[in-house]
Amino acid sequence: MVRLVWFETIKTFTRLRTYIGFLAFGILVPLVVAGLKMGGQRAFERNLLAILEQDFIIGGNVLNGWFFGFFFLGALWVHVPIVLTLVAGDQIAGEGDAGTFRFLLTRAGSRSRIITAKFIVTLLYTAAMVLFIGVLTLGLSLAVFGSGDLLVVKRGLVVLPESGLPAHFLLAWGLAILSMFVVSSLCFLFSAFTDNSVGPIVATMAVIIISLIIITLPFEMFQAIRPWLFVNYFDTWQKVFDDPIPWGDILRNVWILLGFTALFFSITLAWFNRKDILS
Amino acid sequence: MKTGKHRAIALLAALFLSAALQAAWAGPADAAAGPDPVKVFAEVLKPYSVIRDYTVRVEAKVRIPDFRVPDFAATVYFKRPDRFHLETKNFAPMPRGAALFDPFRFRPEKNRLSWLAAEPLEGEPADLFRVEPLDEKEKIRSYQVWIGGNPKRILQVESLSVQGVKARARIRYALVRQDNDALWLPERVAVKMTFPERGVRPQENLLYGPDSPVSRGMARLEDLPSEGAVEIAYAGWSWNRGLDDSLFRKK
Amino acid sequence: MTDVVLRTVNLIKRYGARLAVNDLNIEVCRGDVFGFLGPNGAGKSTVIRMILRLVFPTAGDVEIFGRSLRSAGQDVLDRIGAIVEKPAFYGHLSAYRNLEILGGLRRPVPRSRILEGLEQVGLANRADDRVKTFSHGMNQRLGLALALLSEPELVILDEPTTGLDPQGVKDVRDLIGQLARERGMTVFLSSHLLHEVEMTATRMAVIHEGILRAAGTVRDLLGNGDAVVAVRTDRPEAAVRFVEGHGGYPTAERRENGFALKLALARVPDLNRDLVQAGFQVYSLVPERSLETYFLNLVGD
Repeated sequence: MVRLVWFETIKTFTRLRTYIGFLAFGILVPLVVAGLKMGGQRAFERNLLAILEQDFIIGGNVLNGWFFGFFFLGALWVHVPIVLTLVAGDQIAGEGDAGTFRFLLTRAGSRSRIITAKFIVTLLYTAAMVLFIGVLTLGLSLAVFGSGDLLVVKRGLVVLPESGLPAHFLLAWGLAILSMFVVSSLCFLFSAFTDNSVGPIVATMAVIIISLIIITLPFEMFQAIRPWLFVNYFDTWQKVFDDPIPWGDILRNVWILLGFTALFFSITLAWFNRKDILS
Repeated sequence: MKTGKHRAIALLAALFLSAALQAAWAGPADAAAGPDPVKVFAEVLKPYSVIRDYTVRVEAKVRIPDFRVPDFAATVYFKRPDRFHLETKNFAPMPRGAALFDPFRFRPEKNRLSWLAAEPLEGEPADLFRVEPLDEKEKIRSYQVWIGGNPKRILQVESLSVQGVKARARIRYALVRQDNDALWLPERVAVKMTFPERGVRPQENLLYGPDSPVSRGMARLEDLPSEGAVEIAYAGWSWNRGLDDSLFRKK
Repeated sequence: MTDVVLRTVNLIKRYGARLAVNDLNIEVCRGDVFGFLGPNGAGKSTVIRMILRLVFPTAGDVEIFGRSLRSAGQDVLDRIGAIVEKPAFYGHLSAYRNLEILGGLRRPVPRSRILEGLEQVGLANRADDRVKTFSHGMNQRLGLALALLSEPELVILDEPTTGLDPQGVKDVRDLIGQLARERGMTVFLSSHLLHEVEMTATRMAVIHEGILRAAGTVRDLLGNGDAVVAVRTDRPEAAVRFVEGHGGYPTAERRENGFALKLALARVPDLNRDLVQAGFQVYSLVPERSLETYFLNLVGD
């Protein structure tokens, strides 16, 4: 299995399309940070500080690197799935399209091993992408805006001391990775149904967008099905920035996200093990 | 004889009218005959007129519901006439109006001063004054100031912001010596804040349900709590050491 | 007892209402070069895919080296090398890397073995080039190299000479013969280049519309049935009129030096006798008995 995973890693990470996401965010994030530095902060000052400054004089570096790192994590979670699907959608469909299954599956020993190896590499790519975005946004923001305490506005205001922030962010990234595992595993599943990698990308984004719409509209019927939609748990990473941290909720959500990932992977295995390879 | 009587009545009427007019023009203070607020404030603020700048270390605890702010420390820099700079890595919200010691805030030329009543404060005799900034751009609409003690000092300040937030600051002093000078400077300030009903609640946004996990990037601070308290301890006062203007420039 | 390396047992594949393979029973013995013939859409590729477990039978089974594919699973494929239709590789990787990955899925393949395989198909000097720069013929050769990499006991080749130039076709033909004779491999060869199969196959089966039409040794199959008999006589026109007017003979096809007619082999002496007795000089009478004729006769009706 280790060798299979290594081979799949070579196949995936020697393709140009794997790096589209890294390139895109590698350009986007510095641009946004530059825009913020050159005056974009004022929107935050208006939205956030203006109310506070009516009644308080605020000391400290409020709009600091941790703040923008947190902001980016929250703002990019619709964009990140797009780049994840570029790779996940091609993992199985791409082999079908190229016809390489004709060699791969006759020489592998079992379809399950191949699919499992591909899935592991898909998850590795997902983790790498989320970490890359997290480290880039936080690192760049800290370099440009400096450090300080983290101000989190939800209902009221939570200020997290700087000393604990690295641990908070590491945990947040871990939970964000888990959320994105669900996206990748869903796209991986769709990839098993077709030989065209565009289909899984479109289907996954459609599911995410429709699910997001459902959970945000305050209609009773939609709110009732909300717990069954995986996007409902996308914000688990944000709970790490609550005070006190709701560990019970986080643990429950971790199990749910793992459950979705396992479910989508199981369906993929079951489907693919019985699929006729006609390409 | 009749002419003399008429003259007397006219004179009495004129005197009475004059007194009445004077009373009406002078307002309640004069009418109640309290101390001259201008003189009182001049006396209170006179010792601090030597201050050109100061530096002090503050440690604060914020106890406002839904404001989970850790205790913080900061260095406060002040330079005449009214410039402040807070230096801290921590998030440091200092209530406006009272928490930061500004010896020139209540200068008569900048404010309308009036005596309200003699109102003891925790058993200590004190006079209550009303201070209204003349500058309409000020974020604080008015102050109530309790002055008492020996020497006369500002014992308590209650500010009312244009947003309707009340902040009542009880000030305790210590005598601080520096070189050949000694000044009564704040040692502890306990601020109680009362926030009004904002009245401007965001309408139920059809696009966002309650507790939506969809991040909106930066949320507005729409709900502030009703009451809270901030306790500030001052230490390490030093004044007239020379502070550069660049320290107060907004970055 | 002949060692059967591959056997299909009542093999059926249905796609919806369409029966792609209908109750197929064939046997491939050790050492055979087995020709598997059929027109386009006959079901050849479906059968090969079922043997290689790319497609699952609707009913029936495949036995490989005596082991059932249905019960033993993909492990039985360990001793097989195969090319299915056009070989497909990872274009962004080199030829060497493709063989390393695709050949090493079960166990690592030594570098020397990979290079030897590339040498064997004439691609040693392109080992480090990306496969997407290869021509179709080079892809075919690389596919052969991969199929033979693990020294399989059974090699399944689906249209192995497609896209090759004449020299390439000859090379593949020679290689197939060598595999069987010198390396003891059994070769299962699917092709529609009938003369190539005729020149290399020892046994064959013909499938048409999913049904097995004939199976056996090439010699036995071609020894029976009709032939096209080419006749040269002194008066070809008169001979044609005689043959067509004489009862029992089919219409003759006129040729430059004579004529030809489709005739059962057993009746060739009768034709010779009738022509001689009619006073014709018979210069030559040659049955053109070939696989193509046999095949077209079998599937053309």
